[in-house]
Amino acid sequence: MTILILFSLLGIAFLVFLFALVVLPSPSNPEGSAKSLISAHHALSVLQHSLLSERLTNQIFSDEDLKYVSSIGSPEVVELLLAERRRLALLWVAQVRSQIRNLMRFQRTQSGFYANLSVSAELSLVNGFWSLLLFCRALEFFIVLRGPYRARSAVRRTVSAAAHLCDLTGGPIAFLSSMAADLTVAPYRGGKAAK
Amino acid sequence: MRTSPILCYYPLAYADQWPMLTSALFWVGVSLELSLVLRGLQQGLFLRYPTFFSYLLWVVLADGARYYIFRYHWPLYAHVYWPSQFVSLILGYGVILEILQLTLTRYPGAARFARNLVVLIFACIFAYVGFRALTSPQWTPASTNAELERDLRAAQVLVLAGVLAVIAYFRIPLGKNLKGIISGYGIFLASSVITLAMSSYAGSSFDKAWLYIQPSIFLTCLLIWIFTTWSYHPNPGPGSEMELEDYPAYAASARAALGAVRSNLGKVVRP
Repeated sequence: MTILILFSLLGIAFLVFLFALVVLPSPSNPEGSAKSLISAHHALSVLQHSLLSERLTNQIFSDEDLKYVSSIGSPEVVELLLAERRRLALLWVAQVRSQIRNLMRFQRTQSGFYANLSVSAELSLVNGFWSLLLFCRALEFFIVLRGPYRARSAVRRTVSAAAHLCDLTGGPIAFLSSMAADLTVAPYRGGKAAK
Repeated sequence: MRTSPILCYYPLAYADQWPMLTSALFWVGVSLELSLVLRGLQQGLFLRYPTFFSYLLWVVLADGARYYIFRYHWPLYAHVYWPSQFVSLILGYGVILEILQLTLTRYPGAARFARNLVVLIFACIFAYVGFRALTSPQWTPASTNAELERDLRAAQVLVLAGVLAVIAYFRIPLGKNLKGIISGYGIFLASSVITLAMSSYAGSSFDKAWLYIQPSIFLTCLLIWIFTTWSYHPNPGPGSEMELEDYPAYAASARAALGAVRSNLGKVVRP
């Protein structure tokens, strides 16, 4: 009976996987590494210049506004502010996660082309990205449970970690800054445009 | 146990019966197989997908031979069925290798990843078989041909799943032909594993159902192949090829950054 269950589960799981791969939407339009390079460049730029900026994170996670509103003495307004800040904070984490996912997609597309790919190094890279994405999920959970103001320390570390990631990975694709505009207009120029 | 020319066992209890439905399934199946092979020759698909069309050609020839022996040389039937089935199985591994080669040709990194994964899967299977053989002397990989085929088909499922996982991970686009070949062969493999496992478990009580289930599933696969490999559809390559000049440097930077990120974020969890 155990053997029957095991083989049946294997068959069914494979059918589900096959269905997901073949029938559900996949990169039906060839995504192309040029597109992923542009996305990665965009992700880095959004992270560095907007999402991870001290001004924005301070604005969302600082409790100055809360102190001010509390001083007015209206609990309804305080509640409203807390709800709005929580929504904003969650939106911020979702945006950071989405840009990290773009960087991850870029890395996957590029590694597929690299002939001397080291499988173990690749797995370690994947593990790193997944850990970061998992942490963002945990941060979302934390914000939902305890509110944006108690997550400030975690946010500071996320910002510093993600900024470090941008600094280190940004170098090798810095050449894109000058090309991004051209590529957006004419993504296909035949051959290996960046080689 | 008697086997039939319609790609499954033909139980002795039903040997005198040649129900109209199974007969219809057989002839429709052979017609579709023949159409696919002829169309493949006409459209030059034999050159594009040589192993897959060789596999189909073999299925047509084996079906014809099995039918002849089933009708006119019945005692020889069982001696022909299993060897021909194992040739199909070996050609099936060739089809999986062809899928790997055709989808990943333009992605050397992904191809390398897939090759390592396939070797790992085989190493795990052999290690499991070796372990069982060493630890329990009574154990045999399979006590019947059906069990052996079930195990080998399960290994094919694992290998194909590995290849598909690499395709999904690297987001490699698939053309209509390859999608069809993968879907049809994948459905055939998964259903074979399930029906062979049921047959091994239920024994002769499953035989009558099997007479209809397996040919019907194979017909479904043939229909998928008819719709998807009727004419040539090239596999889409990367939209515009553009690679980093120095991927290893990028990967090393990203790894270092992610390592720092992990240790930094770890402090949040352990303040």
